[in-house]
Amino acid sequence: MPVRKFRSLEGMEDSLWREPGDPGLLRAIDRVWRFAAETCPRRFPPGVYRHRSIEEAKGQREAWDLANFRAFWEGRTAKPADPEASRQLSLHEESPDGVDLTLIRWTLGLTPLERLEVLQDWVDGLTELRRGRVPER
Amino acid sequence: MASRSSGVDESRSVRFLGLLRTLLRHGVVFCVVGGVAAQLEGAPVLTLDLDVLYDKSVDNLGRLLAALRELKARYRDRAGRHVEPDMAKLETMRMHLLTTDLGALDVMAAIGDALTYQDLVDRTVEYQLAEARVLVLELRAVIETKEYADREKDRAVLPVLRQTLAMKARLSGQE
Repeated sequence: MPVRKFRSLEGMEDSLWREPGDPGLLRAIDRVWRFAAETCPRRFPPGVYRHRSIEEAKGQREAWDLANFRAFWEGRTAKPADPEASRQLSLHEESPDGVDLTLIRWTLGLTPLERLEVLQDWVDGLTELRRGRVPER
Repeated sequence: MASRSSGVDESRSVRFLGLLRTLLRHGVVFCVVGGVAAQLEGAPVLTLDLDVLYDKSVDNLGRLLAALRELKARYRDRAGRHVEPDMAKLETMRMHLLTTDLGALDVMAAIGDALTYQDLVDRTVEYQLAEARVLVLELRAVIETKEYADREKDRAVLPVLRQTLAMKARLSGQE
């Protein structure tokens, strides 16, 4: 990978943009979807559904989301005792001292090996970013 | 190429599982501490190196040295000097901040308030990572060592660690 130099963070972010038709875009999408499928698989009942209103369609979607959330916890060792507890957990997103509780909850839902793999992904991503720019000295 | 500021090769990322496998293959007695221990315990924290606390028995030092030689370990040196660990250094020095073929590896004879492997082994949990079984310092003990170190980077991560510990307690209470 070539070493590239940027004058600003904006310039660096622009370089990550992928245009439609770019094979790199498909690889990036594939990686994101694979990661999501491995860490938090979601299931939706197959078929075509009719709704009388947008609100009714949204309600159906939320019910599926809740079912997916419950299924996610049921597949893990640490899980809330009842749906109401799940709802309470999902509502409090940030602690008073500013800690993102959703990220902690998600990490706790992983196996130890998955946690290590996530850390490895973060480190690899950071290394890629470092490779992509030469720091100003 | 090693960074002049840190002595770490920043063009390559650390391979956590590879480092652990090498230590285990050589029969090194150790436990994982620091940021990787926190992450394995469920706290979402980023760390760029693997910290391990080793048992200082003579036999273990020999196994550790063999593992470090296989990893081509050398001290991270800002001046760029090539200094390798040896038995005398492993016996006498408390911290060894190393760079290896698989990334940054910090091996320590003691952490926090001069706590050794023998002091902390009862506060570890065993995790299965692929085919490797490793001892990991429990989250509460990780927090205590960070509180004792009290460096800026330790203080920055403590809220996440404490919230994780609290959430683990809540979730285990609901099981």
